[in-house]
Amino acid sequence: MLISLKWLKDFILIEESPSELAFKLTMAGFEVEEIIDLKQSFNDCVVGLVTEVSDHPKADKLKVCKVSIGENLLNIVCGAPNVAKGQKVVVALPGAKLVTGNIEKTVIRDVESYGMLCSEKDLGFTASSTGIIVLNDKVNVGEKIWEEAYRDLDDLVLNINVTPNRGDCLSHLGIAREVSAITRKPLQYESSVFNLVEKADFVDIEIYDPDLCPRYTAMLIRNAGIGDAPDYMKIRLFACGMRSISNIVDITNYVMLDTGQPLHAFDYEKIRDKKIIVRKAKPGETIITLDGKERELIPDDLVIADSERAIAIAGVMGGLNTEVTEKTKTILLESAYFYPPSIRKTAKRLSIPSEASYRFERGVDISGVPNAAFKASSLMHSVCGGRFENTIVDCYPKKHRRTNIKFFPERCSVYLGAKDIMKRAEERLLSLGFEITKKSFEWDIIVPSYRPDVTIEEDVYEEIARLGFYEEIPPTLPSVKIKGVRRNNNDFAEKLRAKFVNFGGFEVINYSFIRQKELEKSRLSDLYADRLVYIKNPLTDELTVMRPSSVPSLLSVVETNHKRNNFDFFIFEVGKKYFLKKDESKNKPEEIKLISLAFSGNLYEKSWYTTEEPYDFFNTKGIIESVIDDLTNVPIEVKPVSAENYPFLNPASSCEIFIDNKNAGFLGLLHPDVSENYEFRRDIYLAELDYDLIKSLYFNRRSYYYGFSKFPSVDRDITVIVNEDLPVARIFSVIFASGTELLKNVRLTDMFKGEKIGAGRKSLTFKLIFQSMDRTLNDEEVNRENQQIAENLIKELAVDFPK
Amino acid sequence: MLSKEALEEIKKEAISSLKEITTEKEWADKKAHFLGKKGRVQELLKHLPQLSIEERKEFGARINDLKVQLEELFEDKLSQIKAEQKTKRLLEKKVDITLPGKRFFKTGRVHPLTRVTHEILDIFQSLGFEVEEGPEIELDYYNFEALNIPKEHPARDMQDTFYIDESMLLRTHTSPVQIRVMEKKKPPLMIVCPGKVYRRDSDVTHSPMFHQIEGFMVDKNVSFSHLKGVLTEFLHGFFGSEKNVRFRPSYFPFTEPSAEVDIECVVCEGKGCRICKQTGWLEVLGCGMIHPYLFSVVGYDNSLFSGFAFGLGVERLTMLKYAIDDIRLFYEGNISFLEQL
Repeated sequence: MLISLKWLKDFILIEESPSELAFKLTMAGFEVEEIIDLKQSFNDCVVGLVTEVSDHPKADKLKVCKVSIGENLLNIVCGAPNVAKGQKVVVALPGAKLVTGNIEKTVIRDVESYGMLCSEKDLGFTASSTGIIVLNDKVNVGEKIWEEAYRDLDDLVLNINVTPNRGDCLSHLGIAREVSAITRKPLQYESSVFNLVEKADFVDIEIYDPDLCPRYTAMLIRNAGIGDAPDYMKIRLFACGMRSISNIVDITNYVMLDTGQPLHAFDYEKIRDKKIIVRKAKPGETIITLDGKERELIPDDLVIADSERAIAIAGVMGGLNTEVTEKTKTILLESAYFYPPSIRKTAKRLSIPSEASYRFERGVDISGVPNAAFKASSLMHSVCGGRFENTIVDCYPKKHRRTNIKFFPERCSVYLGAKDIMKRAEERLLSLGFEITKKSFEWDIIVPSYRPDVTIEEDVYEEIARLGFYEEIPPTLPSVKIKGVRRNNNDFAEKLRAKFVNFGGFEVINYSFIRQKELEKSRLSDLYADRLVYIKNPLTDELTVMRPSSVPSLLSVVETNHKRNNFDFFIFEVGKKYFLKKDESKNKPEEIKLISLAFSGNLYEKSWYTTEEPYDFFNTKGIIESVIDDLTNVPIEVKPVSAENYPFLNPASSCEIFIDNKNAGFLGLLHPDVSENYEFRRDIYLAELDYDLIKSLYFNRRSYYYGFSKFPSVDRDITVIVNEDLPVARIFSVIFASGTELLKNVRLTDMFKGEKIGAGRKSLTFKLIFQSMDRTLNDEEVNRENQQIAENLIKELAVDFPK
Repeated sequence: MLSKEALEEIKKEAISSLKEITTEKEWADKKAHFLGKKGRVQELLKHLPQLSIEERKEFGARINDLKVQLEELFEDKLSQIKAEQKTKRLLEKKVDITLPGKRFFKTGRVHPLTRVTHEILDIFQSLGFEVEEGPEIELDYYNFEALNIPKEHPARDMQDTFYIDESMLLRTHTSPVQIRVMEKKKPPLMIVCPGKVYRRDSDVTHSPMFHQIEGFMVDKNVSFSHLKGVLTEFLHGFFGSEKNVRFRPSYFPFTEPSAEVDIECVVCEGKGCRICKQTGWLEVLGCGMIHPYLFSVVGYDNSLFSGFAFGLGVERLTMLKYAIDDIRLFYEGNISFLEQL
């Protein structure tokens, strides 16, 4: 909300400097975001005297003017029809920054022009204009326009962030009330004298739905001369970010900025049968609003209608059919209270946010409804010469009931944790317009009608506390019951990340929503086709779908880095994937927490001690094995992947991962087709791991001490030759199954393929380690063990031994 | 012939040949040559019988003297040789200690947002708060209704929302976790909940997805004074205890009274700069006393319990901490950005 300091001073004496005032408002809950010096943007606008006007040699509609600005005589090209010798005008000099654009020295059809002669539209005061401003003859040539010609520009404007609960402060009166409470200076305003009547000859008001419109008032103003608003009004509207349209419209806007009550002026003669009906729209009803657009209404919308048709969308925008024009003679002025949610709904649905609806949505002062009408009528009299009687037709079917709150001072001081504050509670509440009746332990508090936000006792606490800027409340630490708990979430999350970081991982964070086409690019669209979670109103047409997998996100990070010539890296993310879970009844979105990994290019590059080593299946698997082992002490198991479930992987170099017999994710090489889609020039390995599974194993880590042997261990090497496609895990399991409790460990120490052993074959050497808990083993028993294992390998896997 | 000169001569010879010795083997040979059973000194003794008793006595003593001297010289030489050998063995392992170490894994980095999240949680956990999490795809009910933001409430404008359908949305703040936790557990509660939140907004300081940390405490007699105490403690822990903190009235539908908390600008130390828009203060979190409406929603007794809640944006604190000027850098995954932090 833009608040003019000069305007504010209509209501209250302000002795503070502007920055002091801004500080005090900020600390009372009205954050002043900026103090704008209104005149600053007019420092390059001066009063000029047109000393000569001649035709432009090359353009019919342009004139070349000599304009004196005191010492200098400027050559300025002007296109305004009303420019004439002897006029005092507003000259925007080169360098001036006007709301309509920046002024530069230019050449217009071969004639140099040192500035611009301004219209009110050029200065931003009005929405339109017919010619340049001709100033009063008394102003001095060469002066800045804010010095005399537009003295109201010599003003400061506070840009105040008014929170949504304080609709009452969307006006100068409202802010003045706050300033009064803060600075303890009284408000100054004249009370108006008028008659409220239920009925009058000139209009018949009927409200069909008093819940949506509890109060509607109307006044009649005759013989108002439609025309220009006075300068002070134009400048004040300008200061508050609005533009002048015509005196009548300006007055309604002016009074709204002044009191907070939006008003609407109808052309009385266009209202049929002197009838005002406040009703819901009829099905299929339409109205052309003031902006010239036809609006389709629905029965939820509240309209103002005459006997035949809608003439305004209540609280949102007036209708073109009853617009005030130059021909208007008589005005029916509306001032009303509409039910906030209803106005908001309609304004939102039709996307016509207006200054009026903004205030109605936040609740206007229902008691102030006639006062605003009276203030506007008075202005229509003084500004436009309109005549009106001191009679306001007040249709008020649902009377406002004042909010009554029971307040317990003792409870308040405990709640705030500040005893001293209570000494000033009464004074503060009174300064804010609350009425208090004190009883022994409780106070009865009556809330002023302009504060609909105060409904409960705690709201009153805030009012008391905020006027002390919260500074009087001392910071203290609560006494708490201490608990011995494992710092579950955070501890695991930190450890997990630290592990991957040790292996060179860079943590990334990706958006949870992705582009639909990324799913196609990564060959995931079929897999999740009917399980995607879409965003109804995405930010762009692209980021429309919640990611059902981390793969597209990781691939786009890989892409980003490849584009910047980073090829060798390992990234990981701890995030979620989102998809619809097929339930019997309905599709419920599910979110699963994941650890996702992507490896690109080299694990390490060529160095003084080694040649380069690319990421491959085994070193990435090793990283995963090592992290899982450390966190859970449970070994991982792997199974081949199906092309169907992992269309983005090359199944020849990929696996599903199982931990504790549960599916825990996958690891694998990116499918060449996907790689081609992204134009990757490196092998990419991807992995996803189930975060919650690993977390639960981490917290239920199973390790036991089982003692160790005092006796020496004995090794035996065993080399077998098998078909290339026999999984090594099969051999391990036969070895373990065949060994007795003496077999302590088995390691694969060598593997090779080559002509020597024949095509399609591989040779594997295992080191078997035997040890007993209670004795030194002799060769004989170890050989026996070894022999048994070898026999079983032949029997079960038909292995060969080297000759 | 035995003469003083002959004895001197042997000593000289021994000294000069010791100089040339470098190995233990040479040393043993030379020792045998001079002091062995058939060595030069023994040989001298053979000449003794030819002398008179007087002379025998005299030369006997001289020869013995020579023997002792030579033995000492040889022992010294031996320790010298051994010391040299030890030095040589050590030098065999000499390396250029300035060569880069062998690293089989590069060092990665935790994301700056994660690091800051953990720092924040660490402080709150040390104060006795526990960590909870909640869903990101949330019901309108938890995100708005239960937080005292009914449909058509103007406060809905404060948070432009992504909707999934009529009743489901991407949570716009972590506050719904307050309701979810209170539904499950009874006071006393001290909870912090970190997580992703979503708003339809995008520029250099706003991202459609960002991270918040919500915290709240509910117990008997929890006061606004406690809120100030706990948050001041946190901010001093995070930014340094010399920083001034101020609480200013504000509005959130789910707290009453509500406050915004400012900290003295970390860049200009309160003098006023571009970062703090010349105010000397940085807005870092929102907070307030939990609105009684929330307690009635979860079935807590309003007359018995009170509580405070707060929410802070992780991105904002991280950007301040690391002088990052574009929020989008956090989500690009560019290694060149990540490795600097």
